[in-house]
Amino acid sequence: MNMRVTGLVVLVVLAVLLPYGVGEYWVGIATEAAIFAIVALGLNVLMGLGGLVSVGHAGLFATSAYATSLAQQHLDLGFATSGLFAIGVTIAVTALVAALAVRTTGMYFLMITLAVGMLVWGLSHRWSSLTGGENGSVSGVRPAGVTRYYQYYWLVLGVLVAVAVVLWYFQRSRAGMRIRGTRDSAARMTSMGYSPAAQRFVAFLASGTVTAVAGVLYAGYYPVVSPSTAHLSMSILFMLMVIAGGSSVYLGPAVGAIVLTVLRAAVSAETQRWATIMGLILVAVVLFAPDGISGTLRGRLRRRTAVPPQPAREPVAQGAR
Amino acid sequence: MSTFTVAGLAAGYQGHPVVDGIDLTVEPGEAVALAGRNGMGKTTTLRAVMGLAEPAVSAGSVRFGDVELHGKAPHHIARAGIGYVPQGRRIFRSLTVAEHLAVVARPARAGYEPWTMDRVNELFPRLAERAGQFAGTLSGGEQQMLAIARALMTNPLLVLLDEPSEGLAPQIVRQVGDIIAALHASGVGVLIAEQDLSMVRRVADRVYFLDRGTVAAQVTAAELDAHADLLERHLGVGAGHA
Repeated sequence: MNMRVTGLVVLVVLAVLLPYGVGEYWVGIATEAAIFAIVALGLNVLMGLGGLVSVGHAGLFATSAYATSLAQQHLDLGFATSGLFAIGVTIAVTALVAALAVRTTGMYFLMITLAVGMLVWGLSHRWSSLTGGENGSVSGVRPAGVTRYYQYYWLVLGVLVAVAVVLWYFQRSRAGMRIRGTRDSAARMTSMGYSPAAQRFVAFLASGTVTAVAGVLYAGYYPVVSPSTAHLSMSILFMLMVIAGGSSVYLGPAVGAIVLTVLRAAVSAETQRWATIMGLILVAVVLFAPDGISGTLRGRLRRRTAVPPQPAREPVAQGAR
Repeated sequence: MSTFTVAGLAAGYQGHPVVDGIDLTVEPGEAVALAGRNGMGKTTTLRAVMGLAEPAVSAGSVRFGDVELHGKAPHHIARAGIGYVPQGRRIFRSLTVAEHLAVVARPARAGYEPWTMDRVNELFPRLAERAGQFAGTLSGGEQQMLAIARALMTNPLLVLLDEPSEGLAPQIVRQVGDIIAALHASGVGVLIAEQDLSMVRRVADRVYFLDRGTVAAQVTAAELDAHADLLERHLGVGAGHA
């Protein structure tokens, strides 16, 4: 086992032991951080691997959370079956959005994802006979034997680890390589016989599926799924997690999710000005750590240990060349 | 492989025609050069054949056997059996050498010896040594070889090469020429846009000279020396230097 894997195993063991060290409030925050870490890893399949920025992922996340809650209430399904139902629904929605969005890149891609996020938010707000409107939809169903807060935390942590492992292999698979190749140059990929739109579709679908898994866990975590889950600010928060953590380091987005969630909890206890603080963090990251927290730390470590650096990655958002 | 035919091809950028009425053929397994100075339409011809977004093709037909390729998306044209090695190498920066080859690999066509990772590594020992390296860290010559190797992994029947000698040292140009000659010898058709006479001599069976977007002359490789005027006019090579 190499150093990196050993370090990760130690981190996971520490994370498992967390409920023995801190109280229910912080275990709750850690649960939320782990759920957001799953979203951030999923979003990074689009942003880091695919070079496509989505500002509508909260829409997909909320679709999954609402579908879980509604399936439990109206179809009388349990945690697992409602979860599978919600993942299916979200994959279908993702496929629809992806089919529209993947023929574009850059600003147009961004606008389509934005529209989808707003659409889900609007529906959750206005279709109150189904969604409960501003009051939200009752959720919080957990599987038998995993009802206590720390048990649910372990479940979420387990899913996070599983998602991280699966996505690690995905980005190294031929499908993952083709997505990277399309990000580097759509024109080169197409002249090798691969449709760039098809590669982007696969990236979007993988990203949406992972986001759906997180949405199911979120519905089990919170007693109510409300329209704020689908709000643009939530999409921006997910995007910030990826940027702050560093999209070029595999687990960077997860680091960003954990840091921002914990920071938000700590700051919110003191002041109402979380949004201002988040804005300042973004400015600081862009100015002083453009590769994100993980990317910058890795750069420092590399310089110190004098291992030759990997070639610089191209920026996240770019059009076809 | 079937005969590859371009007929009456006209293409240009933003309404400005660059090539107009190009006619050419590549017989099965033949190596054909498109020779000419900069700006005469060599790259535009290859890009138009490949169906890339730019240039816009205004007229003409591109046929591979009975199949009309004009108007199809580039990935459909590539799947019809046309490999493309763009000008300036154009590798994928964030993929390693091995990933480059794995990612584009396609099954071979019936009756042709398949290009596999092993066979490509045999032809390009330099790339085999650098399998785990990111393509962006390779030298210019190695990147050119990788671009050719990548095209071969799609198991093409015809390879289009756009100025493979560009920006390379003479010694590397010779190596690249040997490789193109080797893949031609293996039965793959070659259409190469080139202004380096040594490369043209090394690989081509037949040469089309392009001048201001049209085919000005056509000779076989054996006839090249008898046409010092063509070499002078289209490649800027004086009779004394040819």
